[in-house]
Amino acid sequence: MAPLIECDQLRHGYAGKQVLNGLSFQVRKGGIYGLLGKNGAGKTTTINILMGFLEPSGGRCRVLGDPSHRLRPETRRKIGLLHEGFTQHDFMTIAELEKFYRHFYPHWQPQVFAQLVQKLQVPASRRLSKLSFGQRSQVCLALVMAQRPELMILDDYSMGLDAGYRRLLLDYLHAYAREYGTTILLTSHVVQDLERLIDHMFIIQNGSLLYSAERGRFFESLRQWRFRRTPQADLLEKTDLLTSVEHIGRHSIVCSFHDEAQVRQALRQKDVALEDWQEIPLGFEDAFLSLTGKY
Amino acid sequence: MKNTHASMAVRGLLYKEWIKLRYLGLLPFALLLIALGDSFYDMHGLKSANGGQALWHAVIFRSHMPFEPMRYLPLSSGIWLAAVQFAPECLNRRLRLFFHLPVDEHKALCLILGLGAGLLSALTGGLCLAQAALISLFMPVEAARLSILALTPWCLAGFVAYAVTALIFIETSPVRRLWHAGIGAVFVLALTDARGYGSHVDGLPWFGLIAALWFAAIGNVLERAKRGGGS
Repeated sequence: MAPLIECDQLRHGYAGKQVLNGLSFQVRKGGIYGLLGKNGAGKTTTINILMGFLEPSGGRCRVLGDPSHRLRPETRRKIGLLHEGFTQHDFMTIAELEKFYRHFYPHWQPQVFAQLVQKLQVPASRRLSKLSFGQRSQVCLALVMAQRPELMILDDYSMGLDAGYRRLLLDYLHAYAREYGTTILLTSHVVQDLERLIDHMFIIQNGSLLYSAERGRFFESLRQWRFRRTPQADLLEKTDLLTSVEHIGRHSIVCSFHDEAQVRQALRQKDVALEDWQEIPLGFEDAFLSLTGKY
Repeated sequence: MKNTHASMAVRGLLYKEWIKLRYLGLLPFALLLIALGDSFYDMHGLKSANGGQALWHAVIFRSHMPFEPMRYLPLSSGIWLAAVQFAPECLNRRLRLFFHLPVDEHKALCLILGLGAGLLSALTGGLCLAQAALISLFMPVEAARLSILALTPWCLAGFVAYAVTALIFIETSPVRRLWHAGIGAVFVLALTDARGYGSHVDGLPWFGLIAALWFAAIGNVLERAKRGGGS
């Protein structure tokens, strides 16, 4: 089956600065995909290209079979977009928004919209501009969900939301994706929230794909160890074997996708004494930072 | 099936325009009524105070136009209607919502512009006809015809102002916005500066052509805005 999203050697830059440097990834039908990366990694540019708001300067990007910068109306009908900052028509009331959007989507599900909005306990005659940011996020998500899209793209859904609303949004998304089989691609700057949600992740750095894996495989393969810091340890640098090297206080910390024996052997070859050697469990955010670095 | 989608989409777009224009779109028509009332009392007052001769004197020597307050009505209405339609559509990166609607964006733009231009046509048409009717209450039909010739450049200025304002809202580059505003101001000022009955009559077809070109340019700017990030 053809992938829903196919980016191949994507390149783009602004004013001479290259932001995407040959980014390639594919999103297949089913599941929740996370496009992760630190600020400036190229997430927003990638999403803008996927949404058809930017034409890439190089490479190829196809969404549901169409070139992303020339999506046909019938293709756009199958894509639900949640815009960064929950951009929506503020001058309309909740009821007017629902009435407006249902004209464009033949599979519109009024009950899905109603279910989400009823929980807000605000009248449907309330203008969007009069809602709190959290309430607004729910209305925007309800508008996307009611479309019954084949593919949902959520651009930084967590922006400006407190922990409660973020959790609420994730719960709705999770249940929706399971019920309707919708494929979801999302970005967020709050990485720890995604631990339980996403099935597959793409981590991008400096405009290219750094890592791509199923969520479970990521945790199985990336491990972290701590040992006493020595002058030899201070000379360690990142290599193909050592994904990250960090020195904090009296300890050195290394991460690797390789097994423990290989890592220990590599360190010994560099005359590093492995005193107080111990494995430290990695959380999702730790693993993400180990890969991308803190700076 | 495709036709059903298209007709539903048109209804959706019209619904949104109705929400934007249902109250704010009435303001120019309210101002039109006030301006017509002022014009009527001006002519009535002139005739009552100085007799019909005073009105003839105004027409023959082009010394006074009873509809002078209407000079800037089409212009301000054009700016107002375009702002009411395009500000909520374009500000704060909302043009992205428009670009993602499952409709051909150029056809959707034509519908929005057509609606705005239609309202402006109703306003300017109403203005010309009502003013001509008012004048014909006091003077012969030839004088009423002259008044329409005097009002036409002002009405055309309204259409240019509408197109330029829409263009400024859709444009994403601040420098280009200034450029559109500057060029638009030259044409609008030339049209509203028309003084006396029948001025600019010879140049009106050219001005009409320029107004049409402004409208045609909007589609190109929309395309550029889309390729450049839809902000």
